[in-house]
Amino acid sequence: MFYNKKWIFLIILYAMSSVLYYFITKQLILTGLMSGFLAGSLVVFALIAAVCFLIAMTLFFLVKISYMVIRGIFKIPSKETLAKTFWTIFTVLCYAAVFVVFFKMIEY
Amino acid sequence: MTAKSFVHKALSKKKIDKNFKISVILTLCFVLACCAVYVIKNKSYSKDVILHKANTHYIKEQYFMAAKYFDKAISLGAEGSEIFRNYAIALLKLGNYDSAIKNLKLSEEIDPYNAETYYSLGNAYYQKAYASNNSDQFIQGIKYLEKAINLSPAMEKAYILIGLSYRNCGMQENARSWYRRALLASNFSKAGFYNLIGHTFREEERYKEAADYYQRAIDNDYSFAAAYCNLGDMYLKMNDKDTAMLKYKKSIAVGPDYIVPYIKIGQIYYDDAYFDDAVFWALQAFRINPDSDKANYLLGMAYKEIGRKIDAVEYLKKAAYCGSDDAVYELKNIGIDLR
Repeated sequence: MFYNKKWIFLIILYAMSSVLYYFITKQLILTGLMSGFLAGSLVVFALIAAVCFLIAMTLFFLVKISYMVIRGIFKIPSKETLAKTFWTIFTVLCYAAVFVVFFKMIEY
Repeated sequence: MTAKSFVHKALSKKKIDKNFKISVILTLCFVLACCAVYVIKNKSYSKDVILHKANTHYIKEQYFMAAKYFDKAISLGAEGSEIFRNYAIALLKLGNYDSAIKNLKLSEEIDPYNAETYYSLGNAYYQKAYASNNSDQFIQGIKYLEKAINLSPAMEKAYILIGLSYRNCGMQENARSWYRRALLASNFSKAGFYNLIGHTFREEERYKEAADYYQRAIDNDYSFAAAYCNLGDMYLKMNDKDTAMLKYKKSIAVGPDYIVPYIKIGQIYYDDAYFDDAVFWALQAFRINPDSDKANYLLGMAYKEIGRKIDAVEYLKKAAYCGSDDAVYELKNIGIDLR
């Protein structure tokens, strides 16, 4: 997603992180804690990006190994789409993470 | 530029646009799906079910979850004096004093004749004042506690808290007058309030008068172990060590599981350089509560004086982990930094 304009994806992810942070502070406020919006939303953004990046790296290597094995068995010519594969996994994981956190925050 | 390269460039531009378009569409679908989930989820919540969950968590003392559900119930339209009061108490337990006070005032607006609400307001101001060491807040709390007592003269906890508030402001005489009113007002524990009056004199360093009231507490309740201990403290302040020891031992006789007199006796022996006796009494205290920072500290110091350094360090470390600042300081002197 947004493979050719990665910076747009990062902006969208930050905007989603800001919305998530709004829901998180609604509950944090119950304990009297109030941290700055900018700092808080950046923390949420960094956490989601970092975790998804690590998981994407792991999945990417698994996919790469599987692809190399299949290519070896079926003699398929190599296609240089590995970077795109990694980015796709990363963006899908980020969206999934945002949805899971959002669902947890609005659930009673 | 050749025709071939021009076509190739145009086609690659089309590729970029297609990827961008798909990405935008997918992102918009994702955002709409989240909005739909939010709206459907919100509509499905029942105010009564949420309120029931809030009350269940409140009864189980799970205050964060209780506050979360009360907040949701109120946003769904739940109202009532008790709801705001319970929500406020949950917030108070979480340390959110300002929101607790705000909700208690809402509860007061709905039901201005509820003594429990005024007591909770007094308690909220007391805790806020205690945390910020602000005497104005203590005075504000006192006003609400007075209202609680006016509405319910049999509310013992309000008398205790109002006395505590005055004592924190340094107004021991006012605290005493409220404790005396409690003695006259209702069938409260006389021994308890005599003991509290003794504390007010103790805080003013009027040890003879304090001893007199601690004795009155004992006369009203012969099994009041803490009062014997307090009386022993006063004799110690008046430099009558022998009588102090007697009172501490009497405290042990009536309440063998009360740890304080063991530590007090051990401390007297330590101060008089009878370190073996200090160890003996500290061990007695240790048996009652192995996690007592004072017992561990006394044991550590006594072992240090005897020359048993390894035991001393062990108990001083434990005292430090249990919260003793003196133990941390002592360990630093020995050359052990716990950081």
